[in-house]
Amino acid sequence: MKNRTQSSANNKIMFKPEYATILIIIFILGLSAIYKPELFTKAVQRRELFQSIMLWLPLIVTVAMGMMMVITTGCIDVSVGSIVGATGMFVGFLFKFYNAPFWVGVLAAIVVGMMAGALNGLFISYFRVNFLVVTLATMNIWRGLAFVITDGVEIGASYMPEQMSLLVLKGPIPGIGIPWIIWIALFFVIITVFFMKYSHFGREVYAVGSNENAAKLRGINVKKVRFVVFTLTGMFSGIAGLLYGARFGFFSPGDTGNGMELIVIASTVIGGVSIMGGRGSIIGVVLGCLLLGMVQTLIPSLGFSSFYNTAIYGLIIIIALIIDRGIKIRQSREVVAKKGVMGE
Amino acid sequence: MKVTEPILKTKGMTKAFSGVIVLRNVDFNIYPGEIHALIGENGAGKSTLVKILDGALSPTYGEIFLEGQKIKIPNPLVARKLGISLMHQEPQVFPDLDVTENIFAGHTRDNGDLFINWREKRERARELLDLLNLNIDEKASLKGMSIANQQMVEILCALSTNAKVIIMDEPTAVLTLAEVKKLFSIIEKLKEQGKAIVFISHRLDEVKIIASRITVLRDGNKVCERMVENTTKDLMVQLMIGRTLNEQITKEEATVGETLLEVKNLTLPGQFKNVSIKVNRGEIVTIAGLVGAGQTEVACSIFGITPPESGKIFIKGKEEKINNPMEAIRKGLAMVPEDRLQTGLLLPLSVKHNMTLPSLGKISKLTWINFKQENSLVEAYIKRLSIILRNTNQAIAEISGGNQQKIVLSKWLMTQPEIYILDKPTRGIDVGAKAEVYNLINTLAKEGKGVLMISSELEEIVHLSDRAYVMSEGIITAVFERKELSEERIMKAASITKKKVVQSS
Repeated sequence: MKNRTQSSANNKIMFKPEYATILIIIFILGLSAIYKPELFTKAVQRRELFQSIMLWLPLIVTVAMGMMMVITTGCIDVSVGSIVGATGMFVGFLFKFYNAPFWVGVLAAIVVGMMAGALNGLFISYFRVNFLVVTLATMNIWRGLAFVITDGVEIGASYMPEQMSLLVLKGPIPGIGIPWIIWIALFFVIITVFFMKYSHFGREVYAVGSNENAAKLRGINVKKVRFVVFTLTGMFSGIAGLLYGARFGFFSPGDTGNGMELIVIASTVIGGVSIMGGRGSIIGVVLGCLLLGMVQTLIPSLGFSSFYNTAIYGLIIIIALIIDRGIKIRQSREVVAKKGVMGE
Repeated sequence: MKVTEPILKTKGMTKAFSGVIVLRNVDFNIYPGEIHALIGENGAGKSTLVKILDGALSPTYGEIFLEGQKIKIPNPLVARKLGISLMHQEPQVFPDLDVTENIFAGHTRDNGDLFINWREKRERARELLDLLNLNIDEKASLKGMSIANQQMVEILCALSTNAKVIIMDEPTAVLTLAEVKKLFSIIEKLKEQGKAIVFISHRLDEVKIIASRITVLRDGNKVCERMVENTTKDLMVQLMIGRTLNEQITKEEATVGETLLEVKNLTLPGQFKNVSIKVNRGEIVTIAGLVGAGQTEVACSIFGITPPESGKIFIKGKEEKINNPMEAIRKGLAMVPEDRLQTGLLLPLSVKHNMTLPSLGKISKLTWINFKQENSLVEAYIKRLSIILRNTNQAIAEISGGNQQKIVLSKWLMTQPEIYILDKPTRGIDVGAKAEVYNLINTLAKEGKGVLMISSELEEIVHLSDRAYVMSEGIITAVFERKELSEERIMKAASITKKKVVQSS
């Protein structure tokens, strides 16, 4: 009996990062409302702000679903932004020069993204190269290729099939103004929640991140788990590349996905996914994305230069890491305290 | 006792690591429904043997038979599938997952379901928990759970895969007395279910209580296999030690002088309590005890790595506060850590750079190192300690354990400290190198230094120490002066468990 009460008491004191994220979101909204009330009082401005957050959010969330898995296994993938860029440019290239129909674009985004992710996974799992080195290298490779594909020329909306704009303008349910792009991201979130909880693979991802050695002893194929996780992250990034074109109406080798890795990593860490692996809540990650997406949209809306953006993301990552570290230290202290003094 | 065939046995099991034989021709028989204790001194080959059975190591020679059939165990996964489960000394669990998830991690696929049916798994976990009468919530997180309960979760994991043989590597080393009792009742239950249990322990009292059969290993050889009922504790000790005295190890006469290091009532909650130790000039003092009795923790506290919570440290009669290793070094202390690969050496660096690292200040002007001086210093110590190498620029990882240990020692010799704390200085090095290390320790004492050595090897404790403090479960259970020392006495004092301490005090 003692153990049961102990563990439930434990859950109560446990710090939930979701709550903190919600509080910070409210806090930032409050600050902005004080600083520039018209953003919230004038219907047009309010609507604009809301729209730009909600249409940007699906892109981050989609990539973050992959990043969450990668970080849960104790790695990190800094190449996602470039994969978004390269697949986006490739899809745009197919649209422009081959008049490819929409479904070909979707297929290309998925396949190219997966291949890029699999390349990361191959080097990390099977050639045992450090994940940071590998993804840092591929980050540059894909960004470079994004420029090569069209010689650095942007691809505008006029070359894209009609469905691309419909993704943002229309929704599946008539009368409700929620566009396709949001439903797609929501679908990915639900699928990921389900897979992480109920699939064998999802449990193995947590196991590998929680205690790699124990996972090996239990017969879990750690290499395969990491390979698959990176491949899936590539796939999500590829899809986000396509969505980028839909959202902004152009593909640009320099802009598409640029700096997204930082936003996504920040969102994931804020969401309570431990950078040491093993721990992660998907709802927390979605909230983290909301926070980051909001900050990004608010900075120019409040009249600050958007040059501040990247510096602020970096700062947010550091703060989240300090909190993460704090949780770890407190937990290990609790464990020691419970063991008690020997000889008593 | 009815006659049964062993469920698992090894025949002629031999294992050599780079030419050093650690297990020689061992026939080990495990019977169903029986608790079989595997005992022996540190380094006797117990862990090697069970790691072979778990598939973590592959034998050099030898065969394994499961239920009469010859089998091969290439990895732990195969061992699990065959029904052999090894529980490591430190529970190998997933702190971020809950009890049910821990039990089934890695084999959720076994029943062929496409997705995991958590309701069914939780029910199954509950059944297993009830089967052993455990008061653990199947949804409880493993984080912050006591080691004892983590062990239970590991046992449940073994049961969930229908293990036939459960090997426990020193399961009681990290448990409290009450937890040990609980574990024993669980082990009894497993026995009743017909499981074969292999129980490794240094605590002979426990072996007497729980096991029905023992196999004794010594220096990689099987000494005997016999029933526990007609084996006294003293006989077990004899069987475990039982070798001829090594004449090479003996403390040479040295003049004993002033007190160099004295600690009084040192306490670090959860690690050790009220530890008082004295080291005089010219003395070799040992802290004896089984692995995990708290000796290393005491040494780390004295050296400032984990400063004690209460208690006093005197150096040459003056009370000192040592908050970190830097201060300890400045006050004339040096410490050779137990794990030279992890904490004693910088593996990618060369022999030379490893040796001179703590004394760079002495051989440099401003910030520039005098290479000539460095080389001559290194050469001098290599000669003095007869370290064998190709050249001083060789990477430290390439040379043998004994030579590595000598380099760690010489590294500190160069800083010319007065008090040496040596944590198991002869661990994992061969006999020849051991003798040289002993000689060196003797020389230090003769030169008027003080040596505080931690050891679990009875032979070296008895022959080398002027005084031996014996620790068990974080407290000092006995102090022996040189003339009172014997292996039996130390072994007995080291295996005193809490209950007995309470009784005798």
